[in-house]
Amino acid sequence: MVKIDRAVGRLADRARTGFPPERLAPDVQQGIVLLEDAFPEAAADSGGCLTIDHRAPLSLPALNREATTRALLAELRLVYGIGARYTAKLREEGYTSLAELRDHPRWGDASNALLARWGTPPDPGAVYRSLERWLPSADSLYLQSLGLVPTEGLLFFDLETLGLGGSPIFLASVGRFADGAFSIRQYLAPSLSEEVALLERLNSDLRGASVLLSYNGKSFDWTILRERFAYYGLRLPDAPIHVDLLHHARRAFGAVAPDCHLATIERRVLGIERSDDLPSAEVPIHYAAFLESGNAAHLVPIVRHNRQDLLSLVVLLDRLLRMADDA
Amino acid sequence: MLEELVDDLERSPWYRGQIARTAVRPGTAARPSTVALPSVLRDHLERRGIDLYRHQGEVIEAFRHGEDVVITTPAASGKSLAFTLPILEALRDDPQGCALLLYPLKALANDQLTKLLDIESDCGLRLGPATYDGDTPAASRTRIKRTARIVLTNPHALHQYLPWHHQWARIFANLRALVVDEAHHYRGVFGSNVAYLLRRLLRIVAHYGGTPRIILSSASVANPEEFARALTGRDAVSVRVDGSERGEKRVLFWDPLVDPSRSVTSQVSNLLAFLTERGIQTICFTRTRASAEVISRSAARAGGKEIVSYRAGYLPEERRGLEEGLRNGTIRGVVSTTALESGIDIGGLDAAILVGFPGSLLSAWQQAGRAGRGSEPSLLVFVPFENPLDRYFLAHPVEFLGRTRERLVVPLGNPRQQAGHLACAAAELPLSEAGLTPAEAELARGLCEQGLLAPTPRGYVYRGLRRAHEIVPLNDLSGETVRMTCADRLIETMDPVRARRDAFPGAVYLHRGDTYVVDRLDLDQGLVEVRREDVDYRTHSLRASEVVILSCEEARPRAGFELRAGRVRVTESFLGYKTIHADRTVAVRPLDLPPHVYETDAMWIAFRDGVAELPPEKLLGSLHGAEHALIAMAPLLVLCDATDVGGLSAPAHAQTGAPTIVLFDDVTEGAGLTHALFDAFDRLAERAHALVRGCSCEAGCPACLLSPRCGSQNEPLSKPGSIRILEVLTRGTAQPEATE
Repeated sequence: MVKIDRAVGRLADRARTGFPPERLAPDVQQGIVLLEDAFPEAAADSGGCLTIDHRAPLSLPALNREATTRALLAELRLVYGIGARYTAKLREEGYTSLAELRDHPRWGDASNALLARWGTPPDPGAVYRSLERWLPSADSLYLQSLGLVPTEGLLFFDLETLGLGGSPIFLASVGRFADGAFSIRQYLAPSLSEEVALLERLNSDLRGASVLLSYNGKSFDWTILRERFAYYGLRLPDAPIHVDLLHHARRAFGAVAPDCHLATIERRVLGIERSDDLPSAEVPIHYAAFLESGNAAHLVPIVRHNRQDLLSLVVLLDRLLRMADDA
Repeated sequence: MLEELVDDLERSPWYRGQIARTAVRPGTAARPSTVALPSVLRDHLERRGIDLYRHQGEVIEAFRHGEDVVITTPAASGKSLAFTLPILEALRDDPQGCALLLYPLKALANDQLTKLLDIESDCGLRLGPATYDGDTPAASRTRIKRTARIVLTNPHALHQYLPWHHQWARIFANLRALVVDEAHHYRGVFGSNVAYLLRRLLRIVAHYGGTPRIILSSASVANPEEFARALTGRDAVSVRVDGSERGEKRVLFWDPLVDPSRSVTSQVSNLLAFLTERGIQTICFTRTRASAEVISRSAARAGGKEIVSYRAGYLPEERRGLEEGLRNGTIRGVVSTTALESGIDIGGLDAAILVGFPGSLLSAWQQAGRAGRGSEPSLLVFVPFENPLDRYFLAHPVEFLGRTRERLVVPLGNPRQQAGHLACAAAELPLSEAGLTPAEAELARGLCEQGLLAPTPRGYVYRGLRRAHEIVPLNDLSGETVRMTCADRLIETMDPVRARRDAFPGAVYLHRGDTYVVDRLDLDQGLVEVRREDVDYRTHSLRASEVVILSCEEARPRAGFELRAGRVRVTESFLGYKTIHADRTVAVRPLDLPPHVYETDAMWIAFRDGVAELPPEKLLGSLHGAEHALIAMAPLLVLCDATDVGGLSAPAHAQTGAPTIVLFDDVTEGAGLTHALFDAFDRLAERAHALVRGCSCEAGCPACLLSPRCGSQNEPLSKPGSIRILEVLTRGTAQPEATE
């Protein structure tokens, strides 16, 4: 047994180096808190995954499909072969929309094909595929095109994992607009045995969504999600339309904010102050501490932190849409 | 023709009779293969004028029968074609089929890629072979993962990619072949890490439904089947008889000591000049880059024609230039370090000179294999340095020429290594208890207790806060890696034991043929800083060791002594180091390093009565000498460097209470080397005895007893006493095993 301890102990030490020693957040009580007492409102599903619901009085500026369609039709770069130079030239010649371009001797066929692919009314999937093909990721059309889908079809999401890669997801929040308010649902795995149930819940939420919204989700959250599905041998979800607000925040606020961490944008731009919050880097440590001790007091601050991340995402989108409107 | 050449040589004004022995290895006729191939491949071979040999056919047939194969025919026997043809056939039969080829070095992977691209285009196949490693541009990565059917990579890259296995799902699900080429690189600690890596890979491949066959290709070793089993966990058919056509090989054993007025370098330069002047294309292998450059320059000055020097790290264009020059004859001589031992297609040359024994017969014959074009005769000259192993071969040419090769040891079963790889495996796919051995299951439970794994209904899930693959390094065992950097560039990683021993401040360190001088060693940070410098001296640390026997795992009583193997704890103190110039110590300096305590594998000899007739004042010197001889001969039996084995002699060891010689693995936790020596002890003892007895010196010399690495400055040593002891050790073999 001693031999095993020595063999494993070194590895364990290395796994912990670089992480600040765990500390309890100030509002956590002493003594072991049971899960059901920490989250009296939570419900457990058949897979053992805990669900915590929350509603917030948030809203988004109304986007209408007509305005979106006009903006899309004005973007000539969506036709293969037309870049900034040709756009300027065509504008001079009086072509200011894809509809007008249909009669153009050179670009007519391509425009027709594009508009046919989009359909009437424009299919969000086809439109976003065009955007991703030709426009940089921070173009405002990505935000404007949200007008193609009903507000209820937007799904905001954020994951908490135990590490950077090859790490389990233990907490996920998804949010959508319903019945005049913003509903957040958080899935919490009380142990890693429930990670599969968490993934399955997420999967059904993803399937029902028109557009996914995240912060750095395209690089991080979505990749981790696919990885965890593959880890358990579950069928990978198809990639839905995904708008990553990090790119847009960087474009809009990169000049005024020292960095583009969500926390920074929150404080500097959105005016959101979190009291007693913990740094994102400590979230995994608290979950690990919960696994070791069974004390659910460790989970309260991370559930709160994760929920606020999602709320801030909505506030950020609201700000970005208003800025686009004013422009 | 070669006879005339040698006559000419002997008539040269600078020749002093250095040719001590000559041996002729007769040529062999080709043994063709009758295996049938699909027409697209057959036509390709015809267009290239290639005939298939028997051993290549054997590999193809074994592969077709669904077997794993390990091929260990000599260099230049067409091993590459032997595994390429079955892969191409399999991928032609299965339009979705894929193959994965593993290489220890990127340069070797790139060489193989060139060959594959050539075959692909000549045969009109569409396989999209590509290398995938740290150098692969981001734009190509997605395309390769999506469409390539042949992927070449290296263990370090593979280790990092396995957690992203779903991106490789298509390739794994359709994997028909896994080729591990240049497999002899996977020995020692690195080898066992790769062995665990391969097991993780195969587990993931099975998860996707792939059922590949494995082909291992390696230079000649004594134990191919055992090696294959250790590396892959599966049994393989061994193909070792060379069916290729060989010309006669004339081997000259050159004794530089016959002319003590000239250095080895200057004698070799004359030799090289002599050969290239006569249009004999020659490759000359040296131990260091510095000497490669000195020799190529001196040879040119001595009248040699079109001689270049070569080392690792050349750009692809430079390598291509070299290949071209050798092929069209504009380059007549190339002087190189081991960098040109394998890979890079330079075709065959007419002659090879080995300056110094390269450390193993495996390497020596890789190098020798660079000379010889088909059935043409070729020349091999072996020029020994003044150390026991080199001089041993000079005195016993049969050993050099024979078929025996070293055993390649892949030490498995180290719990620390296993724990690391179990953690990685659990991070790749849930680790089910069902597939684990009892020892592994115990480790997994230990990992759970330490918070690295979580037990779930699907198996153990990795839950460490840091990525498993980052905290489990491939190159070393203890994880206390010491990084050697030169101008902030990482050169090598090593065990802390080695760092203290070979990379102390002021040490001259050899890495891939280049010499470096150590500026700083910081053991707490695990950092060695070096600078590149060509120097004409070497350094050696002075150490004192204490060995405490912890456990005995095996024992063999013999006549007059007991042979044991087990675990020991070594305490090594560092006293200082000496600077050696041309075999003479010129300075001794102190070192301030903390003693190192570590546990490792060991074998020891406790004499019962066999040494009674030795005078007590000579006992330690006799044991000490025998210890040196045994260590010096160790690389003959097991693939290792003499530096991998440490030794200690005691006239009355505290625990055995008897005169004792201990040989231990000079690396933390051990690597199974001295246990392999324990298994092969009789042959080791015979050779050590032959070494010392056959040396004509009076009291011990660098060719027999004196070790440049001796921590106690080769004191005390008694040559007659050592011979007596080694006699006892060999006499023990004739007796039946005594029972307790």
